Amino acid sequence: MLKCGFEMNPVEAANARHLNLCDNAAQGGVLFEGLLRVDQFKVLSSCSALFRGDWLEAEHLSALKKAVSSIYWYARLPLFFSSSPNDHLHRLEEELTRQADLTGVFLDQIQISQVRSLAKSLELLRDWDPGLDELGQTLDRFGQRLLLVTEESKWSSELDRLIETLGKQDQWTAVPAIGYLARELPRGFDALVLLGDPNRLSQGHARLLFCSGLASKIACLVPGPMSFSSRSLSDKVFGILEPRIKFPNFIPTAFAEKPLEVGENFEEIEIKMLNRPSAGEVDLEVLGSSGSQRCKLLRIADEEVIPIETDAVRVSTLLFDRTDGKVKEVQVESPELKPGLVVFALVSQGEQEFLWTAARVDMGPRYSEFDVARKSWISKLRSFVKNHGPHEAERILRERGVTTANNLDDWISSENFLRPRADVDFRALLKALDLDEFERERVMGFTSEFSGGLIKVAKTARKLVCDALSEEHWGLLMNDENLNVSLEELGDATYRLGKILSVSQNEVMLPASQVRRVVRG
Amino acid sequence: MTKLGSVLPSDEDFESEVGKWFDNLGRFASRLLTEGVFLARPPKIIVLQVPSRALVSAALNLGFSAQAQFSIRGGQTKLDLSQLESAKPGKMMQIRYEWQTEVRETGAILTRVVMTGKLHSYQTVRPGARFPSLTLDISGVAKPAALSKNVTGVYAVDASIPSGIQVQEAPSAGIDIEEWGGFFSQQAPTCCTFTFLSDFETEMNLQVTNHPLLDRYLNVPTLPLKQLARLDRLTEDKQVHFVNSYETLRKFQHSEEDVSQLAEPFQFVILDGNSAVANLVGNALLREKTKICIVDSSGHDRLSDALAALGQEAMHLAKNEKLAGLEVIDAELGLIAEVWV
Repeated sequence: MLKCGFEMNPVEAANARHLNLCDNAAQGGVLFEGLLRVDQFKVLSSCSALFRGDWLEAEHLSALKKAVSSIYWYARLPLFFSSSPNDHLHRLEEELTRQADLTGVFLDQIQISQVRSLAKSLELLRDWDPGLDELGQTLDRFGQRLLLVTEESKWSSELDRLIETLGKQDQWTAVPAIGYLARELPRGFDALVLLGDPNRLSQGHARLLFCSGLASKIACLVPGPMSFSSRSLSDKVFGILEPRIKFPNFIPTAFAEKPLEVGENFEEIEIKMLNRPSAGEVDLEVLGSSGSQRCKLLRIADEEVIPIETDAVRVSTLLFDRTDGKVKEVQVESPELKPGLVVFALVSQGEQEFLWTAARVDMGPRYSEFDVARKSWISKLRSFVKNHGPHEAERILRERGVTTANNLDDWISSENFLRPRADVDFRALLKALDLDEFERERVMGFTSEFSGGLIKVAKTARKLVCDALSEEHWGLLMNDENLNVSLEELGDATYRLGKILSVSQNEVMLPASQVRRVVRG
Repeated sequence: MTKLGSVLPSDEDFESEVGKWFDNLGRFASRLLTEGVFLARPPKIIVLQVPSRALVSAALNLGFSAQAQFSIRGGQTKLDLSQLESAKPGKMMQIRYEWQTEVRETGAILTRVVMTGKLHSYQTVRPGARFPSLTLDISGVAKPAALSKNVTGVYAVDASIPSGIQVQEAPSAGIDIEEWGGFFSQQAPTCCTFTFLSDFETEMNLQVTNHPLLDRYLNVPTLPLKQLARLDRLTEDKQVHFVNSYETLRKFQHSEEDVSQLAEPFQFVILDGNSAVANLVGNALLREKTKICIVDSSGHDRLSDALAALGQEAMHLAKNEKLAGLEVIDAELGLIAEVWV
């Protein structure tokens, strides 16, 4: 069974990195190939024509600009929308038409003509064959086991879908964000492939991908028409220092076709993408009014609370250690939570979802095997409950040694239910579901591995939060200023930190997605 | 090849052979102390672009420690009685006592006391006393010491050596106690590393095996890297030896003048990682040092700052002509040092 994960001792990891760099150099450096078709090129040309002038920067045209930008990003990588390309394209066309109608009075004839030209070019992408098979064959050339990354973390779910569509779950691993690769050295794969343009990466990310010895083979499948010289990329990555890796010049090609006559100077056109909202601008979800989780609320601002499970044993808080000037994490027993303690939680997703995604990456292709097994026994459990009814099912399970069977409802209703807490209960449950001994051990082994991964990610995330904070930040927290910390290494997960102002006396029932997350309430 | 291992009481303990890049980095550190091209015109900046900062400063520190031992550098001179009598107050001295056997739960070991401080006064044998005595000023406290048979030697050491009273330990058997004592008492300040503490200290706790220092001089199978590299905290000096030092970047930033003063005796400074490079490569207080900058390719968050700071500092310097600006550390792995003078 292929093993692709992040488990190496520090010496092995250091050795592997040096050897990977060496292998990479022996293979001639980074390989660049184009990921572009002629029809995409035409759409991108039309977008570029619109962006070439500055008129699209006008404030009253911001919605039109956004519509054009969305089209640009879609046309670069339409294969990422392979699950529903026509629907998505239709929405893009509609929005472009709507914005063009709304803003037409502000545009001159040339500008109107350019917008129409873009709309027309989109017809080329209708019922478009993204050439997934060809893409799969191209990627297969790099090796059997691949680590795939894209330019931006917002593409990560699309990358997962691509892998699933091509049936490569056991061989390819998608990394949700490049920053993940800064944490530990992944191993057990043949090549790292960037589905994207390295020029769009930050200096730090480009350097991380190409120079930190992540893989013995590195390839970039560049989706756009941008050509670049090795020198320009080298300057970006190395600055005044000697290049440690070779970059070839890149000339865009279409799939299995000859190099394109790019003609227009795409390098000179700065595509002004809309900025993602900064962490501070993220809209908080509103506190729910129903759900299956009993929670108490830790208030950290007038309209910000962190729900914590009523039966939570411990909660992470932060403390400033004056001896070495570092902020450290301290676990506090739940009853000891009181105003003045500094707590932190994720902003845009529940902790469980966040940990799950990160642990999934760490587990690599083994995750798909684990998840299939997990879903299988949970499906059996659901059938069991359906056949016997909830009360009878609970009684039978108790009789068969599942002492916490009273939580049956939570187990079958939660999307990401992992296992009953106690090993003995878990084993008894799997036995009650008629799994044989081999299968029981297999499921428990996988689950244990994944649970370990969850714990490890949680620890890493907390450490990264602490490492990001200086004495000055602590001062701000003590002066009642709440802070955001964004963890690039974990898919840009954003934590909000603040002093507890009060702890609610009453319980509230909330959805699991809001537990240990900052919500508006 | 050198092996590094941990002794964690869990299934996370390991022992692995480090690649030759590690030993080659150590050799490079040694060459910095011995080769003419570096001695004739000491570099101001040396840049090591590495895939990860992990274990790089460890390798360099080991190399410096090894070279200090091989060349038996060390500004210490054993003093005889006449020299003691004529020594001026304020001179830095070190008194080494006899090794004694101490029985502990884990078995017998050897220990000895070492006192280092400024000479306050020397007393010849007074009526009623059996031995002459020295009084040393140790961090502002006067400590008298009789020069009895228990004292194996009094040494004049460099004024920069930290003062204090330490107890050294040694295995009770199987070693050359003189060699051991000499190794762990050497006064040869070489390199100071500025780094993040937790990562650095984790590496320093790794156990070293298969190293020439262990096989040729100390005759023990393994030692923690920190001991073998003779590393001591710059602002909390605890060991008798004074060869390599380390301190946190944060400490430097908070007490720049004090820390740079303490770092004064060291010719080399390692800026371990992008944050250290970004913050310190251009610091005026370190301008006369040879700064070995470890540029960490896996540390993307401060990389741009580090490269920018290097660019700013290097623009006032020239690449070493004799080396064409490059020194090959490991040709096969493509590991090079870029040298500015």
